[in-house]
Amino acid sequence: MAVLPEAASGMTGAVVPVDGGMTATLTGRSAAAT
Amino acid sequence: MTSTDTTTETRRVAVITGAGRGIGAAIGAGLAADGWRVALLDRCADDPELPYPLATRDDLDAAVAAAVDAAGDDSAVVGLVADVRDQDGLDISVRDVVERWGRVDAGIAAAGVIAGGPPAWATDDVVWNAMIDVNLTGVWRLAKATIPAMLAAPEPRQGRFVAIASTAGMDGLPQLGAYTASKHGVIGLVKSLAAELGERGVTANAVCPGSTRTAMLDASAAIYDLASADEFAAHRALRRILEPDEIATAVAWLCSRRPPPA
Repeated sequence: MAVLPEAASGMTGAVVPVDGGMTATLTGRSAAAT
Repeated sequence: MTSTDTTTETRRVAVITGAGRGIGAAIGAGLAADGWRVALLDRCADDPELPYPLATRDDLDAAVAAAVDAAGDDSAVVGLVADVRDQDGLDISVRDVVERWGRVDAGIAAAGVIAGGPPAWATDDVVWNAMIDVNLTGVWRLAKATIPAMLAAPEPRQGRFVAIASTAGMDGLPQLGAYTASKHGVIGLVKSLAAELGERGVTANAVCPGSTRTAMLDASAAIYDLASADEFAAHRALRRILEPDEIATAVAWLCSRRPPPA
């Protein structure tokens, strides 16, 4: 869980994942969602 | 004059690529609801180098209508046909926006495409070049078009550049080597922009969506021979597919600014 300020006025260079998820095995192959 | 974003004097202006549908369209509606003026840019045509249909002019018109509804003001939204593979088209669009509204406060790079299938070493040159040109160089082209306009604002500036990358910008995905490389490149570009722009009052950030309900996710499912994009849900942290407006919420937060002192 992240604690975020109400405005992002000071944030730069950030990489913000939204449900980064994970790699998994799909249809018998190693695959991952995009 | 008040301090809200909806006054004529302070309404901020965003230029959004890939805004004909999906995440880009949701960002347009979200920012419009927050009081922004938004220019929705889209290529509005298929690309013969890509294996699935891209957004159409009808899609862009629908995105404009949705943003107008969100804004409650049909003068706060404009749709422009522009392709991130064409610098001149982006430059002309930004000039149009500046002439129309007098400013650009945010550039949002949401245009993206996907193709793959073979392993990275066997990727077709056309696919490789398309992924890099649209997904990475397209972000750079929007930066070239919008950042000078943001730097033209008087200090203290609160410009915003946001790129939609992907979880593929953080992890390696099989069968999507070109796409993955392009999204990793986006993150590197954004970090460099942040280092260059921080002292000038313009932020640069990247958002990395997981599987989001878009036409591009359907194309991803086809690459993996899945019956439905819903099959991606089991492999996500939330065990569901995200909706585009959830990504738009993250972008809106990155575009937010502190209110002026009372």
